[in-house]
Amino acid sequence: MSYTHKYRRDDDCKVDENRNKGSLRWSHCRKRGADGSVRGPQREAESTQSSSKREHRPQRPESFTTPESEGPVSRIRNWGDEVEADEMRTSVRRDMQRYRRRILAGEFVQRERKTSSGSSDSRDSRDSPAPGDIETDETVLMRRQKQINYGKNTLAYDRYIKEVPKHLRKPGIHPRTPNKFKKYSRRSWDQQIKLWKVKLHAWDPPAEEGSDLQAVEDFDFDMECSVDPEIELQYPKSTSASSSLPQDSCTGTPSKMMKLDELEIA
Amino acid sequence: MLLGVGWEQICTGILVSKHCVLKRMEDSSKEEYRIQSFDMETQKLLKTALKDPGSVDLEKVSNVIVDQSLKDQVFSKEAGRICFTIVQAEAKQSSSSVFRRNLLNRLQQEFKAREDTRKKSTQEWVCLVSFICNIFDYLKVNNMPMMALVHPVYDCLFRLAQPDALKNEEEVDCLVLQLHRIGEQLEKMNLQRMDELFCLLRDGFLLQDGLSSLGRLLLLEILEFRAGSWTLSETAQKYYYSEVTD
Repeated sequence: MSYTHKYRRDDDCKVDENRNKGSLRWSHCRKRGADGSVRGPQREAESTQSSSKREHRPQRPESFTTPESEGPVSRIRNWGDEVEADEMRTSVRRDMQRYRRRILAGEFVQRERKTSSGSSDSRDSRDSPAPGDIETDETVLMRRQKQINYGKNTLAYDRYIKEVPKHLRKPGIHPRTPNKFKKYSRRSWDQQIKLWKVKLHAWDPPAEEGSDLQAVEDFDFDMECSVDPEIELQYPKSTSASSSLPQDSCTGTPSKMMKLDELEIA
Repeated sequence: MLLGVGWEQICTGILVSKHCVLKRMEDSSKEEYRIQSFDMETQKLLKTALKDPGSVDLEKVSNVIVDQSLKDQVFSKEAGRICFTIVQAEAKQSSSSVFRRNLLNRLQQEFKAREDTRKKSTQEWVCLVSFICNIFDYLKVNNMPMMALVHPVYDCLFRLAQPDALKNEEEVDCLVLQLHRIGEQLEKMNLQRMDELFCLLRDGFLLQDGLSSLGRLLLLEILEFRAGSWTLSETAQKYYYSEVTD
């Protein structure tokens, strides 16, 4: 026996399916609409009716009715926000298509895992994931893109990309934007972003004499333990964070940081 | 396209002396953006916004543009262009979209108050519709029309297709103009509403009293226009446009 389920909210009505047929079908469900009027079996919920015409996103009704409001209230706050979200969504989709094409074209180097050292990261960003194994959830992608945008809309990033063209980048020294299409846990991702942004600070415009760039060349990123006092001054943030390495580095990392990441991946 | 040429000249400003670039902008922008109707100070503000958006109050600029669009019929039909250029300039200069956000939110306010505007002044109402549609036409996001404006634009057109509006030549004229310009795009974004709109237009044409003969003609032409996939056949073109109007 089948019946068409008109109400989005009244899932609890399904239980009554067997007992009630015809006009008594909904009698155990909510009898009144949000505006107080009694619902008949034929009438659709006000919110779905008013929004059904306007819907172009089938998952969520565009307007909803609450007891406090006078009628359907639009979910859209304002056009400015809506268009910005729209723009990000289309950018992300376009990026995804591009990325998929690149994977399929085999542009990424397949790193061989013969040397299976315990500390090697199974999610090395230079590995290409299988085309089916990428992050596709738009909410996640948009959130990640927003975080990346915060990092890229900085003077430091501007200076960085002007100074170091992509083909001259050295892994470990030059920060690399985390790949939003790879599957990572939330914490792992947030950590990558944090580390990336910290690394970008090396290109902050000099506030005083003694350029920050100088510090980058001198500073040995492979250093695990003691921190050079001179560097200490220019990296006011927590030293362990600034001296740790991103996941795509092959050299040693502070063991504390590494364990955290491994745990998350596992 | 003139727009593209002007923009490239700004970017390659190192090759051409700044003075020359400005001069060229001065001459072409008045015509291109239809800003002749603004007072000199405002024209200056707009020109600066086009070249160096970061140096002006973009909220003020957006208000100035919207205000003028509601008064000036000529400007309302082409204001989208200058808006788009400012949006591009701002994005390029500072990766921000302050101007666009302000513009859209102000537009939304005007849209919400459209019924009152219509009661107050048909001309202002018609200007508002032209402006919204023009923005929809020009302000593309990642080369696609802004989804957020699709329903509002349809709402405006539906309003124009109501019996009381169809009696008004001014409103019918506005309606068919918009459909000529953006009908095809709108239809792609939402076919169902376009079908519904044209049902209204057909009914209006056939059943309604109080349509002027010009109104009737305009409606007939737009009905044929859409029926021919947003283009007029040669014979239709001859039928509607070959005679010189008084």
